[in-house]
Amino acid sequence: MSVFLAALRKDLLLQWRTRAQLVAVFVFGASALLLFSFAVGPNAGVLRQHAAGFLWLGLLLASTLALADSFESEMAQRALEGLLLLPADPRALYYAKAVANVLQLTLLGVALVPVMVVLYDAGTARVGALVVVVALGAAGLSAPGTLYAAMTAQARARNTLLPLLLFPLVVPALLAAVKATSLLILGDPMGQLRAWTLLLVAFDAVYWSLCGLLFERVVED
Amino acid sequence: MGQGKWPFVAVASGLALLAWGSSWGLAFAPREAYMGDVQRIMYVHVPTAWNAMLVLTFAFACAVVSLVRGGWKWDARLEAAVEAGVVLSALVCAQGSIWARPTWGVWWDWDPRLTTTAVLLFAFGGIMALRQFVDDPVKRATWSAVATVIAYVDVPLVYFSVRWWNSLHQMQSTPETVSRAFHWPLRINAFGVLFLLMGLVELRARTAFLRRETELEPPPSRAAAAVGVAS
Amino acid sequence: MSGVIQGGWEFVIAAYLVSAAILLGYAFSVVRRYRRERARRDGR
Repeated sequence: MSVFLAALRKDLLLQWRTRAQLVAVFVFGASALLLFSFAVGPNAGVLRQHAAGFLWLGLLLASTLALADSFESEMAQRALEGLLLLPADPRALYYAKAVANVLQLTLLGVALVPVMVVLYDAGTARVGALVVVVALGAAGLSAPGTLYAAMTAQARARNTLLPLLLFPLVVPALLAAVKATSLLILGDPMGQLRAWTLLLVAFDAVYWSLCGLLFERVVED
Repeated sequence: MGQGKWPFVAVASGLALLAWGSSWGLAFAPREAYMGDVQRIMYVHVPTAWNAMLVLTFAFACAVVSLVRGGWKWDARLEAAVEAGVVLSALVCAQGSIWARPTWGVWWDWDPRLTTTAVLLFAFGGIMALRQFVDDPVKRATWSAVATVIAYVDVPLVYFSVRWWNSLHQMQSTPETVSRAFHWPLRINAFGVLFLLMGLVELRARTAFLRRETELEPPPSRAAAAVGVAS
Repeated sequence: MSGVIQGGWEFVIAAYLVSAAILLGYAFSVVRRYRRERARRDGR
């Protein structure tokens, strides 16, 4: 547990020190949202109806940058090997990195919400619920994303491989997050929000446990 | 890895069964009541879909054994099964698309099973790409096994989420059951694809295993090279 | 959906042809790669 906390502290500190990169990723996400509206056209009704989809697509695209960055410092000067030589359970290292990534992605998602509100006229009164959905979706991206980021950081063509591997995998989380967000924005007459949120939770539960188990094999020598 | 000839027998008999089942389904089976002749596509579509799932399940099994036990045989089988899975998934999507056009007037009907197959196509295609971009054979084996496990576990999640997402749009999906008169061509073709696959996956695995041997063999000793002895 | 779909034979033929092409093509590809790898191994 103490290893986990120490590693988490390290990762959060790293993120704080490289916060300029996070700002850049946010700008990338925001410009993606802008481009979506150009692609669709200035039809306010259509934009509002699909706002949830655009938000999550923008966040998904931005996450590939953020996740890849999260292992940048580990690859420099072979820090990853150094970390693994410590008598520490690699799982603790994984969970620390994954938790740090969730926090970062949630922050990113929440920051993109005002952009969505402005560009697509798509807001919600249920802000708390929206933050929860964003966090759960970010968790869904972060669990396999952190694992694959660790893998692809060591491989060739890493910038292509990470999204290539991640995108098909997170389809259930994407669907659930988009539906849940959409219900919050457009209204939920049939009370489906809980069901979609539960699907997100199930996805997160499966992958947070599975990826933690498999991480050791991904970074072993 | 084995050396026997049985895979060629399997491939030949698989193709023969497919020829038999397909001609039965095309020419002799009765026309279906509501779907008309378009229904005949099912005689190749359903067997392909069944076998695609089967070979991907086999890939998952190879991945687990490869992670637990190691060794190059299971990695070779994994490579073969993933490739065959990608080919079959692509075929299923093509068949499903060709079926959807006259039936629903669109090239894609978002049927949950078909859509899940499309997602699987991309997931396992990504695993093939992963294998291409990793040079270290040990890492390649471990990582593609990990990725296969992760992708396979996703299958029920993808299926249920798509099914649910689609249920709001009330589009009829591909018929689940086929009435009695149509069973035989279906079964014959199913076994045809199965035998074909068994032979091809075995041959493909042997190829991968041989390549691994070439990849891993040590360089020739300097003495041997100096004398000019072939390695 | 009521009524019978008329015709559609061109789609049926297309589906069978695509299936045959992909399955046969893949079979040829696998056998050829196997033979090539065996030849390389046995020729050393």
